[in-house]
Amino acid sequence: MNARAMAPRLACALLPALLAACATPPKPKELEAYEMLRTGNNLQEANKKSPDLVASAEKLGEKSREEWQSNDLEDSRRDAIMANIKLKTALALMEQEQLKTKIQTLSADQAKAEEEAADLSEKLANETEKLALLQK
Amino acid sequence: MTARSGRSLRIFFAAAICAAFAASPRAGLAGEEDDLQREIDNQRVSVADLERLDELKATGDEITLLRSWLDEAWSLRSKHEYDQVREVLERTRKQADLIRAKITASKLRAQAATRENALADVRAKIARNKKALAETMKKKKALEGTEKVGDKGSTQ
Repeated sequence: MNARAMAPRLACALLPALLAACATPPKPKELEAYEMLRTGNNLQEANKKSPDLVASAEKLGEKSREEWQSNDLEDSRRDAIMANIKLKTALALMEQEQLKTKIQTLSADQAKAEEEAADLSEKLANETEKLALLQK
Repeated sequence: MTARSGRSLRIFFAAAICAAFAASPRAGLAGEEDDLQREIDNQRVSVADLERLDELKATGDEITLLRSWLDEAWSLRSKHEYDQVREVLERTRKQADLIRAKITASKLRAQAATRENALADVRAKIARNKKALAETMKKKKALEGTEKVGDKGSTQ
């Protein structure tokens, strides 16, 4: 068989292998976890409280994505883990802030409710006394 | 001093200088290894502190991860992969920060839940008192009505 006839056959045989070699590898699960965390939470709110942490997480997440696409899976995994930690910390700090506000509101509501309950108890005691007098 | 003893002295000094040069990188490496070991040990102690701090058991998974990374750092140290050890230790420091933030959030969450329950109790008390007051007023009105009818009857 001459070389001309062999060339297309060889190309056909090697093409799938070449394509497989060029294809992007499966995304590391650490990067998937980071992306899920990113889409499932309010980043804007977290960014207000900890802009540096969120920016750093975003930068590392982007780096991890690029490394994954360049097939540097170990580096991609490492940076995704760090991005995850930073974003989770920013979210926990945001939650702390929200809870502190909630506790303040609850304390104010509690004080108001205690006052209302005391007024009502006094009124009830007066009316019960009047009723008792009437019943006599 | 004889020429012979002078030569021995020179050889001795030369050997001492060579030994010092040969030993210095090794000593540096040993120092680095010791530093990393100390850092890993310190972080292991602080993991136990974090566990104690986590009274509500809100960060079990994160603490498990932290422990596994400290084990990884230890094993890399044994393989003399110092740069990688430093990378993993940077990660464990950040993970400890995350755990502390989560523990604080869990305590605040519990505090908010306690306050919510207390508020619900007061509101329930208000509702009960409102109902009791309405019933008392109703009875009072009814009694006042019968008294008025009685008064009218007696004047006629």
